[in-house]
Amino acid sequence: MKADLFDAAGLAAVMAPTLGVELRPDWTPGVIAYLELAARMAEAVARLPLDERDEPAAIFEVGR
Amino acid sequence: MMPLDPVNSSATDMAAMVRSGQISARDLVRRALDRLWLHRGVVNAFTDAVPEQAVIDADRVDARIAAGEALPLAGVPFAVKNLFDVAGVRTLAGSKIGRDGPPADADAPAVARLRAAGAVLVGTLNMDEYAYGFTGRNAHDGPSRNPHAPDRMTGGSSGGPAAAVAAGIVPLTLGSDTNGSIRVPASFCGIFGLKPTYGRLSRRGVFPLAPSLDCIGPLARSAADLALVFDLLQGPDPADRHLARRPQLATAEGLERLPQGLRVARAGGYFREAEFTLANRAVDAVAAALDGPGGVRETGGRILGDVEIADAATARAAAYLITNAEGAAIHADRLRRRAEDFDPETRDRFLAGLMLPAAWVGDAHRLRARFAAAFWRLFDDVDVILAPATPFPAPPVDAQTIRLGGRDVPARPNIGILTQPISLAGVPVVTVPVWLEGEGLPIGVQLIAAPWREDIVLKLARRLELLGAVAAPIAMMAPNAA
Repeated sequence: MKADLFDAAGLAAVMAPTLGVELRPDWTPGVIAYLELAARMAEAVARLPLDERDEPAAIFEVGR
Repeated sequence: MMPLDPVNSSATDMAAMVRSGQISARDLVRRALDRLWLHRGVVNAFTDAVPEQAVIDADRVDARIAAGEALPLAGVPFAVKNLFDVAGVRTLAGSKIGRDGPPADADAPAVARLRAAGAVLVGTLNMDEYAYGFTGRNAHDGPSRNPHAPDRMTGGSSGGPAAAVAAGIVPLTLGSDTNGSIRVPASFCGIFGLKPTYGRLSRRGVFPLAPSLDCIGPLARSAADLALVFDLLQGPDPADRHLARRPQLATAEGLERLPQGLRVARAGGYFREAEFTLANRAVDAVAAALDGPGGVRETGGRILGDVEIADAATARAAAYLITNAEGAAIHADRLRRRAEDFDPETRDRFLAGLMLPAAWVGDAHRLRARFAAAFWRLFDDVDVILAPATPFPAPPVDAQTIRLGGRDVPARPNIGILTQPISLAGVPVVTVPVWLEGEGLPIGVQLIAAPWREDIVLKLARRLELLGAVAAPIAMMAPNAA
């Protein structure tokens, strides 16, 4: 995971029509900035190695 | 007979006055409504007031008292963040879009429980839109303002709830806390706030931000009020799947008795950066008070060396990703249909959250399990961890950036860096207000306990009050000066 290689503008351009959301020109810089921030957060998470034994914290209890 | 001071009193004392007949619920509520009106232009804490209904409700409380009921919150005026359902009021969650919906047809269980205990709701409170912010700003309703310095922010997202308490309009409010939304405004506004253990209190009828992290809790001017309300808010709710099946914990009784042998430690490393000058001083002041006469040594306890909460920065990153993705998913349809009606301060982040690669979020949840397990193990050797609630006191109300790590970073996502990692572990926290000598603004310290041990941190908060180390005075304000 390398946040500095992340193409936030490219992702936003592809995802906005896919998701059916409008990206007005004055909204786009903020969206890109927050995608870049999220990429840095994901990079931080990726620095702590997880393996297949690491279960997600979310709990689903059948029947409840 | 206790002094009759309905404005400066705690909720506990107000209820005692009503029960003993020193003042009626109606008079108490009228005073709250007068003060609400007097200061609305200064603090902008309320988005809806319900004066007529409040007086009707107060009269009902007076009738119940006359009939011999012993109501724990008899006649206490209170208000709730406007993401709680209140029968007959639109649940805004800070949004413009929420204004188009119908009024709620029933109270959220948390609201209903306080009303059943005799509290009287006087209105609903300002907040960051959809609870996604740490500033207390809102494009639709205007920012809530810090009663201690109206040019400063309240913090968010429970900005209105903190401002209403600090301004002395009501002694008690309810807020929500996903990443720090009770603790940050409690810190900036100089009041007490409780974020209970994740899963402790029903949040049905409360508009969600990120269900994996959302909690509700009280804000007040005393630890005793937090304990009283926390006890009343507990209870089963079969309709809330997130609620943990735990026995109820009685915290108000015996609040002034410290547990034997309490081990208290400051959080080091990530939570003690040199640039957090005032925050570190506040934590040291709390530790010194607990180490001194009347502190934890009195009951065989001690202050330990600093503890390291491993991977706190990574935990904060995971909490960010989970919140961003879950929050965006909840609003996906609104973002498609009405993005232009979002507050510009939330729209960009929600839109970004819709686009996150799924594996980032999956890994954040897996990391949470590992981080939390390690965090909980710390409580084998310590009972309470002290950490600042915010890196600094309240910034200017319109601050767009804050100084962290030697550089300017965006304020909106970064004010909660010291509360977010704690949220990921789900543990209970009481934020206590510290007033450092020579400083005009308060700053909060988090008292953090093991899962399900709200009792310990409430007792410690009460002891710090008795020692004079923490306090929540009502702000001195010129009426409607802003």
